[in-house]
Amino acid sequence: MLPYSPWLSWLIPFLGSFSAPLLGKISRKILHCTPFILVFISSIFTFSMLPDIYNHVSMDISVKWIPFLNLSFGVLVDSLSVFMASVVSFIGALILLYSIGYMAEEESLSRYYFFMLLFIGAMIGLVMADNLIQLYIFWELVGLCSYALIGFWYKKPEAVRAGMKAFMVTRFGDLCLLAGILLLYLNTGTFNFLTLKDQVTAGLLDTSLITTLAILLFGGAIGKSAQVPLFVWLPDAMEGPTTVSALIHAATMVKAGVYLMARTVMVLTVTPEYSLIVATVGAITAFMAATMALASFDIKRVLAYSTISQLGYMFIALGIPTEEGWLASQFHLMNHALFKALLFLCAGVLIHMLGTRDMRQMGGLAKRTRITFLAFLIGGFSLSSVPPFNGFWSKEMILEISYRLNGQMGLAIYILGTITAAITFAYTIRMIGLVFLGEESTVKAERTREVPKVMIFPLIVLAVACIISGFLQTQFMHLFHAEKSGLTINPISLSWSLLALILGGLPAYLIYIKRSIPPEKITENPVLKIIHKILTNGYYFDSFYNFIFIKGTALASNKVRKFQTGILNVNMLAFLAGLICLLFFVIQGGML
Amino acid sequence: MFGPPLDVLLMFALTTPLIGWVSTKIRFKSLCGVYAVIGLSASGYEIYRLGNVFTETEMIVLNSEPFYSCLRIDYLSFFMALIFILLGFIAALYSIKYMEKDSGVALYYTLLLIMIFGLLGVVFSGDFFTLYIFWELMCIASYALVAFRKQHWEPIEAGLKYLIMSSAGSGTMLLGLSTLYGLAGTLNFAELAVIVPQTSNIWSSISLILLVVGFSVKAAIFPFHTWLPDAHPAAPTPISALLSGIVIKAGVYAILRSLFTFFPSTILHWQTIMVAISILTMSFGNLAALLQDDIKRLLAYSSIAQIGYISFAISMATVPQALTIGLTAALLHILNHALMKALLFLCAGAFIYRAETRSLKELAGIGHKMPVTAIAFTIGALAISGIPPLNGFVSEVMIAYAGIKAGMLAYTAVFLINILIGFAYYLRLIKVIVWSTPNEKLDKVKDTPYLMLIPILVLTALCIIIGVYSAPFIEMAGKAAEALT
Repeated sequence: MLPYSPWLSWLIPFLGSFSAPLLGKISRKILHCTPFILVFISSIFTFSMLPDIYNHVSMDISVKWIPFLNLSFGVLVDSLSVFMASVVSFIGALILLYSIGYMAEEESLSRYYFFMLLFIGAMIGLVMADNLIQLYIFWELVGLCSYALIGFWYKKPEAVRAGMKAFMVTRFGDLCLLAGILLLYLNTGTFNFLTLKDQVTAGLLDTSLITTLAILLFGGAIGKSAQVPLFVWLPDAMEGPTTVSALIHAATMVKAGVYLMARTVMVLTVTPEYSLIVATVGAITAFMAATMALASFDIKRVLAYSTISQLGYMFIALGIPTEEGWLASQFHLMNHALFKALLFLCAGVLIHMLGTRDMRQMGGLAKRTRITFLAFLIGGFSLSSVPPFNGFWSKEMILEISYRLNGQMGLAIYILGTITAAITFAYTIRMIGLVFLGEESTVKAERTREVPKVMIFPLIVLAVACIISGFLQTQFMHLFHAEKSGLTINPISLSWSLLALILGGLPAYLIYIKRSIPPEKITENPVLKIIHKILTNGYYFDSFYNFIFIKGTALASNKVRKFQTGILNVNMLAFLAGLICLLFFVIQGGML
Repeated sequence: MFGPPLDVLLMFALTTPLIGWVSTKIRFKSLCGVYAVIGLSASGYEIYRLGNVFTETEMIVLNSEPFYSCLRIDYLSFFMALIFILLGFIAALYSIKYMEKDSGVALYYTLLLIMIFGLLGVVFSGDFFTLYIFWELMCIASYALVAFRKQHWEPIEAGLKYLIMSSAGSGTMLLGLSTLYGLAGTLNFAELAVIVPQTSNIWSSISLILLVVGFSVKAAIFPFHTWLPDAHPAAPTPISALLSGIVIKAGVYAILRSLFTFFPSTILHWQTIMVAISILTMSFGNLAALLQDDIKRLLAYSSIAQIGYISFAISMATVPQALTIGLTAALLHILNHALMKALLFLCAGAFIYRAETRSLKELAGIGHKMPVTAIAFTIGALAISGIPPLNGFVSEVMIAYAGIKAGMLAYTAVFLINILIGFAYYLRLIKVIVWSTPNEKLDKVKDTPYLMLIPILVLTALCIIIGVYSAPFIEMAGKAAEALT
């Protein structure tokens, strides 16, 4: 380990972010390069901790912070935190490198880089935090940065709205998390993970309390990781720059929820009821998001839905109360980070070239963008768990473990997971067919831009990583000191998965690649038409929230404002009424 | 006469008109403002010096003739006085530039100094009679300050409304005081604390109700808040900052003092009423602010909501196991809210100073023309919505913890939902100010003048410092809470 790496790994990007406004005054070139260099250095520090983790080193370094609340400020070095920090800093560095090309012509770059660096720094800080309050602080900072970055193009009203929506929806979950943290503190008197773990192992907390606490913490994760019913912010968040989407989806923000859950499972000895809730939410989310991806024409929205769906898989795995399930979720997290970053960066190249996100306006791009096409294929196959790409190994691990679950719920979760795998392959093929194959795009004539090499290089790195990382199971398991060495192939579950791929892939192939069935034919069928409408409207979650929360509070606000008449007579009447009411309470209560 | 901090302030207040006359002679208009700032810093220094005494003793009695033992200072008084003098200083500094175009500034600064003098007197008082006198002094100064720009109709109307409502409150308070005096034969705090718990009959409860209602008018607790949404926006902006930042806190201080010093046994039965009132206060404030178009009015409604948070913490402190944490949270939030709200008002004032409108529709996008002020404003808005690592987060988390510790989980959930609603309109405010495209009317707008920017930046820095390193501030609030119990 390099000296002070647990601190420097997040302090460098975190404090470095404050240099962005100054660098912006000096020169654009320096401003473009510095963030990448900072995060690259930070990733060197995080990676330098990996060998120590291999050798079973773990430590908790802290300094006093608020003695009144028995709170210290510290970093926790263990397998989970270092693993997450490595993923974040690696992906973050690649995305910042890509930004040099992607954001080359943008204005207010210092704002962009300030928040990007703060985002990455806060995320690494979040995973390195050794106590819950510190985690919560970074948790909110991550939310703040995503808000600012999604709304980066403030001249588009939708972008600003999407940013606000993301912040509001996730903050709802955050307050659940806060309540959970405070309730935990009330019962244990500590925020520190290790002390908490000791207390739980000693049996100082009763099981029903643990279930309540874990569910409150889960509320926070639902918001951040965009699970049902709080997933609505993530598809809209696509209004931000593509690099931001890549960062949110692959490294920061949504992974924070998964990290929190993994940490919860590690610290609290969770109960079966809680596990079942998590797995159910995960399975429902995985399925619903995948179906929505089928009906969307915005390439980034499809990718967003696929993220929600893949996060659902991670939650299924986290809801399986064994060490295997936990490990599978983390393995899928790593693989997902790689292929999702790859897919988003590929989409970024296309958007950079054509200036549109609508897949109907794309088409036939395979010839013009060979490398991107190839990279997108690798990413897409990883996403839809085609062997031997990395997504296959981790998703198969999750499905194989959920196959072994008992009971009807276990079976339902497994079936939903397998169906989702089929749908995933279907929408991936649809995406590839619409974007890269078929007739050539009509937009290209008006607008073609060179794609700089700095944008291609990260694609190659990530594509190679997608191919390799699936085979690193032994090393991965060793990092977490697990006895297991990797995926145990279960022939039944494997054949179901392969069958699902064929069942999902074949119709999509016929419609979008071979184009022997026109897609209009499907939407003409009355039943399918209704389903299609439901899917394009995102199961009406948005309309529902809009009606209840936006319209409802606005109505309440209007009604409440009527009370403030500003007429002195009425005001005095209220004053007297209040006084009389209070006196009445006293007299009625007698000798209070 | 009243002890060094008050004497200095009174002396400066009484000589300000003279300085005003001198300033017209030498044609240096800002002289009064500078003089007031000097006065406030001198008084602040005297208060700061008191701080050293508290390492040895719990209470300082200012036993100089002729007001023997009427004034005494414990750590709570000291804590409140520090907030008052700091905000007074900031507002006076800001006024130098902001009030430049107004006539009669000498009067303005005299009133401002008298208001701070009254506020300090309220927290230094050792008996209710003295407290009442200082209270009225502070009130009268604040009526005049609200109606200071008398050439417009709005301040006059708001000032009159404020005067009538507040007088009704003072009357109720006086009735409560006379009942208390008839009951106990004294108004001295220390003596009351001994006598009142022994004479627990219905009249002691009634006198307490009358007192609390009287203070509640000033503290803007529902349903006695109705003057606030009119008075705070109508006043000149530095005065709005003071009204929302500290004047309403004087009401909270008086409630705290009377509840926890004399009636500790009574209040236990009042939990439900107190919680209900605080929930109503915060919900009303937040909901009313949600769709508000006038930036200052929005901030005024938000002040009501924040008073709701503070009184929520106070009502949690009525549960024995949450006593310390509840009071500490309430006092810390008093400090934090004073800073955050003053920051927001001063930034809003800067926008108004440049754009000459209070309507959010017309202010849209002004942040691009005034970047530094806009950043400060954003930090203030995030702080008040409880985003870490800013100061509002610390006290709001402590309030939530007090609620959980008191075992009132459902009410705490309502409190958290209220934070979310508050967050919604502050996000909207940030959207309007920062994330919008400015219209042509704002083309010529420049950033805030330096003299107004300094107070804003000082407050911003304090918001960040208290958020990042809150330990000493929590300790201070904790010590102040200890003085009450």
